[in-house]
Amino acid sequence: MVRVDIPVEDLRPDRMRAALAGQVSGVPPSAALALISEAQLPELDPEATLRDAIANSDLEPRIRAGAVRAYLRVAAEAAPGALAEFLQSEEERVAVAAATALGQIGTPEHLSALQNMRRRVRADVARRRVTFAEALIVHRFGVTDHNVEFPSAEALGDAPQAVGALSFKSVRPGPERRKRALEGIRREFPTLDPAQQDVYELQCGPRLMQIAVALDVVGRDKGRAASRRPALPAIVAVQDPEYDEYNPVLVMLSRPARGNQVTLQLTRLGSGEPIYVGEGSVDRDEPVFDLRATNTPGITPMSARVRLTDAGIEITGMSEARAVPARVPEQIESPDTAGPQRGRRSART
Amino acid sequence: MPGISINVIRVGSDQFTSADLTTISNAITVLRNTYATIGLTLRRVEHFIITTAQANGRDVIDNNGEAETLTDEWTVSNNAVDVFFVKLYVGGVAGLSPVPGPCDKNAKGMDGAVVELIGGTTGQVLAHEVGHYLGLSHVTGDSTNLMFPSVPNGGNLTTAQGNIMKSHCFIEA
Repeated sequence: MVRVDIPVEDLRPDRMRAALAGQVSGVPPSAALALISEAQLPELDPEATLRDAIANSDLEPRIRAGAVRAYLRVAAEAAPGALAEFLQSEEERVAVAAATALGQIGTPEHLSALQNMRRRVRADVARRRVTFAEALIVHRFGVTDHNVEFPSAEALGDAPQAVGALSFKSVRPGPERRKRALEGIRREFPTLDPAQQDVYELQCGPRLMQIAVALDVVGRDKGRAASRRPALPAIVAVQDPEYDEYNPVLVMLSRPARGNQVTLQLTRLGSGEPIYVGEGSVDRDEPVFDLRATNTPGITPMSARVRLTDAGIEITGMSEARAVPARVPEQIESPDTAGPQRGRRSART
Repeated sequence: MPGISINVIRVGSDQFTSADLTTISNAITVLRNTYATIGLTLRRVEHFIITTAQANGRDVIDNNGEAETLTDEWTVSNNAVDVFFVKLYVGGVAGLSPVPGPCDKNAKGMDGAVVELIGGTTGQVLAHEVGHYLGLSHVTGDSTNLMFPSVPNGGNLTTAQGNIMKSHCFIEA
């Protein structure tokens, strides 16, 4: 990892605003966004500056979308009002970024606006992201009267079965790692209450993960709440070994199924792609859920069992050491070929 | 002289301008010149594209987890370092790579480098991240060294660092 060092003379509000427009040599727009949101620069109101940037149609759409992400972290609980307004942005990339952020911090009152947006967006990627934003709110709040698409596990297909190269078993982390994990997760979910989370740690091969588990879903009633309403029982954060920070990358969505069955999908945060799926029953004294990998390029096949006991949660399983074969980008003959029409040599996905 | 090859992968390729292509070309030159100082040659540079539609939203990287997902999802099956160029990596991070990168690019975990286009300093970001892939850790006490944790820096490499890089499995004799 490498960061961009900014000269002191550029740490001024006017220079930051100019940098967002790509007008300051040595200060890329991404670094300006980070400084505006994190550096506490004098005479600069981060919330107002970021709101202005999001609304500024002279800026590149991707910079405005990046400003939406920064705004979520800065404004936190004050963000939903402005984010809901940005759903109406004429620039689809900005509106989709606002929808994604709203999924993480919005409330059920934002569902109808997201639903309207889902119906009007054109690109498949945009529609999937808005759908996932709706799903996040539905599952965070246990909403039962809002219909949102939930891909069936059968349609996703199964990855090759994990043959057990790497085994894993959950433990509880110490207080410092628990604190760091919850700090990382709260950067993406600012309203998450740490007191309502239990945290478990998994070391799987080279990867250290912290799993924040919602006590109101899988606490004393051992998941029975999940048999009555959609829920978001867990968020998975992966360690950045260089800085020992944790980045939330996966969220667990659960839904009631027939009888006392509950279906689970472990999906990528942001895009909402389900990469691990499973099911279980809350009939038993110690409910058990089984998870398996979908046939998604680049993910690691694994099979896991989650057992809910009086003492908490046990997660055990086996993971492959190699991933499902990745997609292959299209090769081009020369570096100045901008699109797939010229210089095509091979393509495989 | 030992050498290394890289795969230049443009993510959201339809958004790249001719100025962006010049930036990438210049960045490759910086890497070539920097590595030459420790006796490492840049051999093949192959070019690949992932269109915006194919990128599934990951043409803009929102966090390090998304960068890792990008490298997991796409791989070129050869013995070169996959370098994914993106136009925006939200936050103060301009590049990310595993240390060291795996020999098997279908192994579990991050298996490529992600580099943000940040104008004239892109070359140092590229050389720094490929340095990580080849096994180099950060050098925190020397701002003249390429592996100082931030850019711009002095861009130097030591003989000892060169020896570490030359021991990576992607090095061609």
